[in-house]
Amino acid sequence: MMAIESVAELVAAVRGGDQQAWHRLVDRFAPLVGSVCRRFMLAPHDREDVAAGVWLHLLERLHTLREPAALPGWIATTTRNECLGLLRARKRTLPTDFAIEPADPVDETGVDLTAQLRSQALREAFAGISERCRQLLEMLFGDPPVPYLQVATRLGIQIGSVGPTRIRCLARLRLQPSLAEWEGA
Amino acid sequence: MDADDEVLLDELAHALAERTEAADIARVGREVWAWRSPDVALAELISDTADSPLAGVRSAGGPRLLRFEAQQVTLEVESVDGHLRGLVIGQGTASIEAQVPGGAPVASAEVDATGWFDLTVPAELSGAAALLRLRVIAADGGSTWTAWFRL
Repeated sequence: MMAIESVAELVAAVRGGDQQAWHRLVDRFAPLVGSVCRRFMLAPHDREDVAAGVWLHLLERLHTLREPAALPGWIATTTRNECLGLLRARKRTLPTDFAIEPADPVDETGVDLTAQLRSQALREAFAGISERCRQLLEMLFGDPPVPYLQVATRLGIQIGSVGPTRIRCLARLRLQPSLAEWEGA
Repeated sequence: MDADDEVLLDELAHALAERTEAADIARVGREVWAWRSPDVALAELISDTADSPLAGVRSAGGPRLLRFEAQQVTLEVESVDGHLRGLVIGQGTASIEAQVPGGAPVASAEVDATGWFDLTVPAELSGAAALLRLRVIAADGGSTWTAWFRL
């Protein structure tokens, strides 16, 4: 089973100059940045530009960050500010009658942080289960899902085992520390 | 099939799709590691008139003013017509540079004896709301970076 680092552990490692820890931190929070950006309907290039701003600010801030638990909220707020900042800066440099306004310019990030953290816990739990379970579950997400016969063939198991294996894999997923903590919270 | 299992599987599919959709954002995040400068003094952005609630109605407005502070150095910067002009308050500053993420300096200028400077920002940057930071280089070679800001 893969141990999942806490945000505090990741932050400490990044502060110590660990580039791989930075990659893991970025991978963990990229979906959160994406979900805030989505509300602003940015062009792909602008989305990347906003992301660069968020990550650069995070690198600047990381050394003075006191409460790692507050990081998701900080990232959501910073992303929103970067989106607004980019749109505002564009407006500054465009003719005055060219107005770009986000749907909801002064509001909160509009992102359900709790749902985001739950998604993150699910991704971490998924990373913690066996390769075989991951393969099975991934086949079942498909739209349409891969038929059981094919799943059985690819995994080299009996078709009658697919259902029970799926149940076992989901049970293991629930038992992963990130998700178990969540369920217990 | 257990209904809870169905819900969990749906949630999991959604969570993994979110990660796939954010692959561009994660890639940018990995790239910015190369641009960090952990051992250099950072001048924080203390104020920016563009952040004022009135900024949007400042149509005919005055210049945008930014203020950065570090322990040793304070910077007052005015952004107007493709120039970043201002004053460095600190000991023995020799020059100042502007940098964009991942690139060589895009502008540099001497800082005069009274602390004044005038950086000419390339037009393609000032029109693009580019991310930028300034590097104040002291006479003894030491550097202070400002926080990143958007033109």
